Amino acid sequence: MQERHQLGEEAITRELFRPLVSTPAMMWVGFIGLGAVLAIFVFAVSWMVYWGLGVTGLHRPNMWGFMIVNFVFWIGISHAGVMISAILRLTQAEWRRPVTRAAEVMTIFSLMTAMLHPVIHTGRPWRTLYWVFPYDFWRNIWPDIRGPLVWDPSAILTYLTGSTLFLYTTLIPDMALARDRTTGWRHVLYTILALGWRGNERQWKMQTIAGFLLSGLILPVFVSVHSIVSWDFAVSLVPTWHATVFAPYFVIGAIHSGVSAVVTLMALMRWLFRFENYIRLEHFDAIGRLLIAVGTGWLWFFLLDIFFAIYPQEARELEIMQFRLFDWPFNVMTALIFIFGYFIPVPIWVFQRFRRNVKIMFWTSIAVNVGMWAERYWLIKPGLMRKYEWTFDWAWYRPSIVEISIIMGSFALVGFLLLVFSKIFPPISVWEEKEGVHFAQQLQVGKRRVNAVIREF
Amino acid sequence: MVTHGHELQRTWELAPRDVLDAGLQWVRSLGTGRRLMALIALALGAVGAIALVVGPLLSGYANRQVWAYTAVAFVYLMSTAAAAPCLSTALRVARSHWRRPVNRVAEIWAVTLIIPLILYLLLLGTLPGTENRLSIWFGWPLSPWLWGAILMVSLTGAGYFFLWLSSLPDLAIVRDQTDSARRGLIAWLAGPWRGSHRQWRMIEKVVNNAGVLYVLIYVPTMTVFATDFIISMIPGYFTAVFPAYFTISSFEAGIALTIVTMAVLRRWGGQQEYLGLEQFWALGKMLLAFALLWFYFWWSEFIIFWYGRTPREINVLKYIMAETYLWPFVLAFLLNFALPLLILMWNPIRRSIAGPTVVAGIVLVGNLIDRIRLISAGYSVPDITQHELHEIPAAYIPNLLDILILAGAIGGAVALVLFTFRVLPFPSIWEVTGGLWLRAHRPFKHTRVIVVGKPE
Amino acid sequence: MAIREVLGIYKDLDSAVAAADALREAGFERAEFEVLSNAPYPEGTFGEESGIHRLFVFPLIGACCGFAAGLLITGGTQLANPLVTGGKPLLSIPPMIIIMYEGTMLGALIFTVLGVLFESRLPWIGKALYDTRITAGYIGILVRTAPERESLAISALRKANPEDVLTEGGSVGGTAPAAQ
Repeated sequence: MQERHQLGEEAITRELFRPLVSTPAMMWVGFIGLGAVLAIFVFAVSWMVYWGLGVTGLHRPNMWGFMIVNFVFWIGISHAGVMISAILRLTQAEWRRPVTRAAEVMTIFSLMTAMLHPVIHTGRPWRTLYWVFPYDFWRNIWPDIRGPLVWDPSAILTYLTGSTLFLYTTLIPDMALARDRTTGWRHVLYTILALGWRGNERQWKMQTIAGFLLSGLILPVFVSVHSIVSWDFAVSLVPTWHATVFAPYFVIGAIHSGVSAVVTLMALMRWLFRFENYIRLEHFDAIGRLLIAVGTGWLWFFLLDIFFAIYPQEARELEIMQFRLFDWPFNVMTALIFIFGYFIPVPIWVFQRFRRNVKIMFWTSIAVNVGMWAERYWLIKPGLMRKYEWTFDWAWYRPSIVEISIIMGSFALVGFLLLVFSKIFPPISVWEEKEGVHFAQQLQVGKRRVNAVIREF
Repeated sequence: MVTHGHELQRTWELAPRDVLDAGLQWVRSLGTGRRLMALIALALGAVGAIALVVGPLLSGYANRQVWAYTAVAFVYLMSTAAAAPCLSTALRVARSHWRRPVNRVAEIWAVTLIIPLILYLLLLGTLPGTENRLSIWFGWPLSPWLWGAILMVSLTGAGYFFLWLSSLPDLAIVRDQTDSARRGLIAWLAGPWRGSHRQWRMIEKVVNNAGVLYVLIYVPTMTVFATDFIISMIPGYFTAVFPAYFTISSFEAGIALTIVTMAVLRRWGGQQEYLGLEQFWALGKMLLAFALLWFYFWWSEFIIFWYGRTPREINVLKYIMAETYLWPFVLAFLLNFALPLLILMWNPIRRSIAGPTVVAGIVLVGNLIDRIRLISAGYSVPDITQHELHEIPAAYIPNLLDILILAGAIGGAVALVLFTFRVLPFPSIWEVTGGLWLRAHRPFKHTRVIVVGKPE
Repeated sequence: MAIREVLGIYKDLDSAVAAADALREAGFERAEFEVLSNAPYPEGTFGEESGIHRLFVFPLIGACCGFAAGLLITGGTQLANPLVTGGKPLLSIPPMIIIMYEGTMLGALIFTVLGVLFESRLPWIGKALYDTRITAGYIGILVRTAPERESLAISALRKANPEDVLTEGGSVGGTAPAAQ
């Protein structure tokens, strides 16, 4: 049943702007804790840049390791924002209202974090930037567009630009609200960002159409991004990588981990900012139901990938499959993927009373992402560790402390950026909450009053 | 009634009595037209059955190619009629109210499942054992026959169960409100339903779960059949995404079939008040989304083969796309993806009744051509124990018997649906009436708005 | 001809709708006044407004530009440096499609946002009557009319129990001053 808060517009504004004006103790803890990990991250990257890639665990034939795995993971997380936001906008789902902003912001920060990885991974990031930007023909630099590594930046650039513009467009009305209530530097900032928004009917109409139009446009982009990331691997002939299912499999995995990350974020926002009136149990319920479908879809693709890797009965594929399923540490990872990625969370989500329990939703969403991180490692690494035609040696890959620090740092970076964002911008779309109030209705069925909403079409 | 350019569908302004009368009118007045159509379809089905006996059955299983169009008929019905109830489940789970008049239109196709079941059992002889060839069963005892049959029987059972459950309250209405001549079967089917508070509390949940069960069987069934009938029949066709392509394109065809059925009911079944712009528009959007997915899943496979460029991959591409079955592939590409995209990308066309209907018709033809391409390719390779296609076989051209078998299977399915129309009310009385309480058109200041109740 | 602005501020939806009605009764066209609010109301709440816009053209133009850019970059690169890699033909269409697709979508997205801003008349740096109470939940009705009809607009706005009525000269109060 749709639950509702009975708050006036002023109360909504005050509650949703609270993180901007007050900093609860836990937020300080967050800033300091994440900041400390970030400092380690910066140190690790600097160390690696100074000494070179030799301080990592990367060596032939393992030239892709933790950083690329983490890149794939963060690209995956970034899929949730747009997926939730766009699909829920297109279907006019009421429960989108408190979720969209945070999800979109998470998209942007996780995409930015993901993009950092290949850049760091080159070992000499400034040279990479020097080579690539500006993209010009005059210096005789010919990016081979037939190689998927050129597709990646084009897709990620499109997605990052699109999702940033999407977020900004929906942020404009809230900037006007902030403009009218602040002084000092904040007032200047919000005045610039509000672009002179006045809130007339035409502007609201454009805002509504923009929500649909941008959602419709960005959905195909989001599908393409992780597909292209998957083709980084799949268009090669490396056993277990050269699989036709990789693109949709990566996308559904990304949705699985990304939507779970949205649940994590919702729970944290509810606890940290005391948003109980907005991020309600019904929202966890709805997103939990969505996750059952997404998780089961992911399992289907996961099994397709495994079964059809074995199906051709080719020795080189079978060797790696055996290695993945039965040898340490991949056997443990296989178990982790199945148990944390599906068999713990999904049966729990089947029960409504668990879906409406914030702590359970929080921990199951964490479990999914543990499983999904393991899945990315499991997918990418084993294929590189073995010897087959055209590779002249084989070796184990062991991540160094530098890489582990970079991984930890990436989580801290996303968390830190999210905290900074919520100090400057409202983490829940205020105008969309108020629109929900304007559109709220009730229907009388016998003795029962049913909460209802106005649909425009 | 119009509000700011959008038509408000009259369905939601009707009284429960109107819906009841319309539903009862449907079962009481079986026009001669409908009966004639059913008889023609039945005759077509009978001709198909005869062709099946004269052709493949009398030839035996030595030449698999003779069975190609029986397999096409089986796969086509699985991709269309058997997929439609999945759409119904998706709409139920999404809990929108506009779907209420649509559900029965999609679910009624479950009644045809008996035909693919029979065809499948006949086709078992064309599937060799899996000990000495590549298959998803990896030589498991009695594979593929026993395990595939278990899946198919389960799917058929789940389909009938789903249809029966979702019709239960309406069957009870028919039992109680129509003349005694029909009471035998209907009374038996409607047996447990009395409309108690407890039953009403349970029904939506149970129907939803039955639908979910159906989908959960449908997807693995299609995965297995995609492998047994196509992938493992084409040596060197190592593709993990194909079962997903096969399933997703079936969902596309299932939506198309539902739209076409809706259009027929609107045009000849007097359902204008229930199947309106709202339903066509919404399903048109879904059809467009699935047309895009068709391309996506096809492309996911193509790009990997194109990049892999091993002789094995190039030969498969030549066989099913670039040379032997080039034209069926081009047509399938156009009819399943390109034309639906080019037509439905325009909102005024999407927001019409003719637009989605025409595209749905196109998709149904496109899906048939795609299935003909894939099955003909699968059933034309002489030696499927190879791991690679060394010689590309010639294309299989159908003969008259093949066409009759295909037409007969489709005719039989249509006949079954038309006969079921006699006992099931349209629109679904209980579902549409349930929606009347939860959806209203209300004045709101200077406009009229749709108010949608969210009871759960 | 000079245009004068009058802004009525209303506490609730009912009085704002009544003000719109009063303006229409007083002979004001729908195009002469606009409603300012802090969140959208269902379309047509204040009567049909002129909703003509060309937003849908923008993504099409953007998509065409993006497609052309993608074609130039991919085709140009391969033609300018004709080097066969991986046995793939020069002017390989499948990889070109991928980059052209991204270009098309990028163009469509950027132009859509430009279109939204253009059609919303943003950024707005001109002067117009405004009151910060609007973002606090009040509804503003802004009348733009000829100077001689300003008083007519004020009296129409006052009929619907406004919180305040503002003119370019400042607040004139929600109710008419008592006769001296």
